[in-house]
Amino acid sequence: MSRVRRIGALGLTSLVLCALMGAVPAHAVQEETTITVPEAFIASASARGLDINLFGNHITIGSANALIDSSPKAQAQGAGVALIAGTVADALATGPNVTQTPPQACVANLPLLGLLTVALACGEASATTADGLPQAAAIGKIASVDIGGNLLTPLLDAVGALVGQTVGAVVDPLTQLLGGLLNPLLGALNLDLQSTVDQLLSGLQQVTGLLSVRVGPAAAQAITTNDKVNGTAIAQGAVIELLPGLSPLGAPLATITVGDARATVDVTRPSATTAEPSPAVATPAFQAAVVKVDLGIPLLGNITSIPVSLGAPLTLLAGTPLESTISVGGGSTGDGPNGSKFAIADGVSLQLLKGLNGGIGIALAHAEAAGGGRSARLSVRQIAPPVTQPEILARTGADGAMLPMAGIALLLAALAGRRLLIRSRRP
Amino acid sequence: MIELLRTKPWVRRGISALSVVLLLGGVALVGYPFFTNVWQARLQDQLGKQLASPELEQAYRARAVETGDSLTRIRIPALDVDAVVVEGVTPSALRAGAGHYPQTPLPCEAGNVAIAGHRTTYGKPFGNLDRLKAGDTIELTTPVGGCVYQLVKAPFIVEPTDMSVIDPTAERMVTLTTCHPKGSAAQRLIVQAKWVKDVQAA
Repeated sequence: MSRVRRIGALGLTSLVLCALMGAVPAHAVQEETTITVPEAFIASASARGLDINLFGNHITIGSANALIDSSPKAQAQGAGVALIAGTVADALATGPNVTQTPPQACVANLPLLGLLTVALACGEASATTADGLPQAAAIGKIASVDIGGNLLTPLLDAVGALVGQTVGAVVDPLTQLLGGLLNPLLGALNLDLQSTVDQLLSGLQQVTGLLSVRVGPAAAQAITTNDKVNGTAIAQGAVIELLPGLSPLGAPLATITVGDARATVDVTRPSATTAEPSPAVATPAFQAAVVKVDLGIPLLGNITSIPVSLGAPLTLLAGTPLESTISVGGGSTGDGPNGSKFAIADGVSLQLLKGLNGGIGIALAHAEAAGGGRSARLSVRQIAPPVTQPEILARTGADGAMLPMAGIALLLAALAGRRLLIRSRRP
Repeated sequence: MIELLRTKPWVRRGISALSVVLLLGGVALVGYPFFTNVWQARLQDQLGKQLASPELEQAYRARAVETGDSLTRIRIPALDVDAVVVEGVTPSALRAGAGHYPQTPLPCEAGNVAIAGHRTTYGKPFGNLDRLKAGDTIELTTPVGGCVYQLVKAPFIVEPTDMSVIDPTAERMVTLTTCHPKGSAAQRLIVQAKWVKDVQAA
């Protein structure tokens, strides 16, 4: 019985030892990871500082566009004045580790269509795909825009007919001219309408231009970091002076101040997995421009500020040749294709001096951005590490040397078996 | 046991079948060295033809002879050895009998040319390498020429890990390696010979 126990204990010990030895791998297993579906992303941003429709002539002043994608590609364009080559800078980087930064493109005192003058227009752009992180940035900027010194004549002609009439005859048209804007103000301030009309008519003789615009730069950038992609467009604010020099102190008829407009999209870069590629999370946002109108009508003796609300256009001087409408566009966000998102800050639109050959249309502070993406898909394969053997001189002697001896042992065993069989047949 | 065989027919049949299997296995194992020699002899015939082919000469000149292809012929007159040496010392390449260490210069070139050969199987071209003595010669014939080396010292024994014997040298020489003792890979028998003269290709 004790022998059975000893044998049992020995067997159990052997089993435990075998299990332990089997649990320790001879070589650590390595994993080889390959990308079967590459990561994809795209982001774009576009900002427009000033878009002018001047009596049928369309001009964009101050624009910036930036685009990146995972191919990799980065592209940017900054323009002081679109279509004027000297003010446009383009940068394009395609393929890995490419960088392009062209010099700033500027033109000073640029006359356009004989209708306006741009003091200084510049475009800047840069694009790079260095380190696998595409980046693109662009700026379009202008110093100031003066519109229509030579357009004053038709303006004065339009109101000149009024000047020749009697004061009594002037009152009615000017009441209509100034519309509902002035009457409440005049009443509240107990002012004399007759003197107001006189001042306005004399002021018209002193104006130095139709419109003066000082607009901030339009900037767009699209950047990639290790964990996200971002597109941002910013159209900085503008100050528009309508009929500058109208008052004896040089104040304009109205000063329209437009705040910044901004649109952004953030796109996460999800980690690669072995599962089906998952769409990236895109977060759009916008900040619409805020607009304020300061009236510099000389008859008031001071300046009145009027805010313009979203969805409630403000019309000045309705029914007159100087009728002007200001609209705030607000903004929006939405879904694009393949899970992408977009954001738009619509900006501000002005229809100024509608009575003069269709007037002047201005769109300001427009910004938009879009982006989307998806994760990469990985394939993981387990591979055994190469077995490293110590470097030795070629093995050329032991192969099969023991085999003949083993063969002889087998032959002897076979012979022994045959002898047993023969002996078993004997009686 | 005898009684068991008499009373149990299935035991007798089992022992009979096992004996047959053991007999066949024993014959195969005993004959293994003979089989390898036959295999090597047939392979040497093919390698001899390849060594004389223009394709191999072109590959040799381009230093692009692939592992297992003919590289040179080795003759050791004192041992009556005449075998084709292939490129490489992998186990499959060495089935040809002898192989050239690829990290060493080509035969007859400057430096230490190293060749490994079987001692007990696959034609055992280096079976009696231990019988060489100073003054014996080794001839190598390549597709582009040949040369003669001469032993300046007796064969000696090193550990398998002693790679220094095939290290580059400034002088032209050849090093032959084989396992030692016979039937074992515990050590290596080394023969080194210095270059004596070149021989023009036939």
